[in-house]
Amino acid sequence: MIANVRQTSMTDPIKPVSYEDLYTAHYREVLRLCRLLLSNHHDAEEVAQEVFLKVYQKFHNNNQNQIMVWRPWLVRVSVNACRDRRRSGWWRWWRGTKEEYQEANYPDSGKTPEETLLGRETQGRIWRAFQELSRRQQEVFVLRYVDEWSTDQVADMLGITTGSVKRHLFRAVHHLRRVLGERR
Amino acid sequence: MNPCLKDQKLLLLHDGEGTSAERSHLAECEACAKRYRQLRSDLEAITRTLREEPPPRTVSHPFRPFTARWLPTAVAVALALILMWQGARIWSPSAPAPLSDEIWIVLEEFSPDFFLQNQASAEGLWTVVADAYDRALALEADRPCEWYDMPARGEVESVDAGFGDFGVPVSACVELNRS
Repeated sequence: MIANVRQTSMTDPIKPVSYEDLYTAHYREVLRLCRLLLSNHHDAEEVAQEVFLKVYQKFHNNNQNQIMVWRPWLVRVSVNACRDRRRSGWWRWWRGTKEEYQEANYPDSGKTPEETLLGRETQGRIWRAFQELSRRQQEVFVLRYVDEWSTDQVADMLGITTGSVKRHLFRAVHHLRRVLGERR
Repeated sequence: MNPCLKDQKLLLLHDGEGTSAERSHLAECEACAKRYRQLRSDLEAITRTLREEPPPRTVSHPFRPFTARWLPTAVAVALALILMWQGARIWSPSAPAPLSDEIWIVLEEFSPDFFLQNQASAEGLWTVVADAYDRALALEADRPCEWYDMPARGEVESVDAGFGDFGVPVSACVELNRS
């Protein structure tokens, strides 16, 4: 059943499925997107739950015979929900619950201790550099390279031009590579 | 002019864009090809790191000092109190300031002469007004009531000019005629 949910192409419409199948197929992806955009695991889980509440309402309000392209819709709704949550970021600052990267908590990958140490240091640099990007640059980078949407699809989902996507993408890559290259 | 590709062009080529001339240059130029490989390697490392889902233990709640958390509130409360105090000072009725000893000494020396002069001036003025009124009554008594509305002699004009409101009442005229 899950195989029916997954799309052969990112924009291919899929047949109507149950809500549980949608949840199973897309929850981890939505959670990862929210976690990257919010930099906070608790907020990401809350926003992901809000997104799937909207999915539930949309799924039951939608005509069952209508073919629905869920994945772009989910990404769009998730990005908007993360924006809404960031607008109320003063509350998170007030509570003092901003999540930060902790190197020691990443699992080992079977390398030597020295390689592991260097790998963790590099990962820490990447995470911190990613959090330094502007919100728009984060959105564009995650959708383009982590979720592997095309430039045109990213522009369509974020409601900006393709040229703007390319500019944000270049600035994000330039910043991340500069931070990554400091230890080379 | 350096024909090598800029970073932006390399990124476009990585994304499947770019012109055929740029692609051919990338195939021929070893320096650009090296930079391109480095770009691909960096992007792979970045995306791999971001795709890795950290375990739940990575969630941290860094401690923020008590003062840092409550400093904005304390500043806001202090400002509110200052504003309230200033507002109360401005809008409350101010009590008269007590007179100093120097002012009392000056008043004690100055006030008797000052008030005596004023009293003398007031008495002089009253005497002048009373005399003018008596003269007007005497003049009105010499003429009959039917002349009441007519000006009495030439000097009446000056009396009217000075005491226009001091007209003799009709009842007083009748009493004079009877007598």
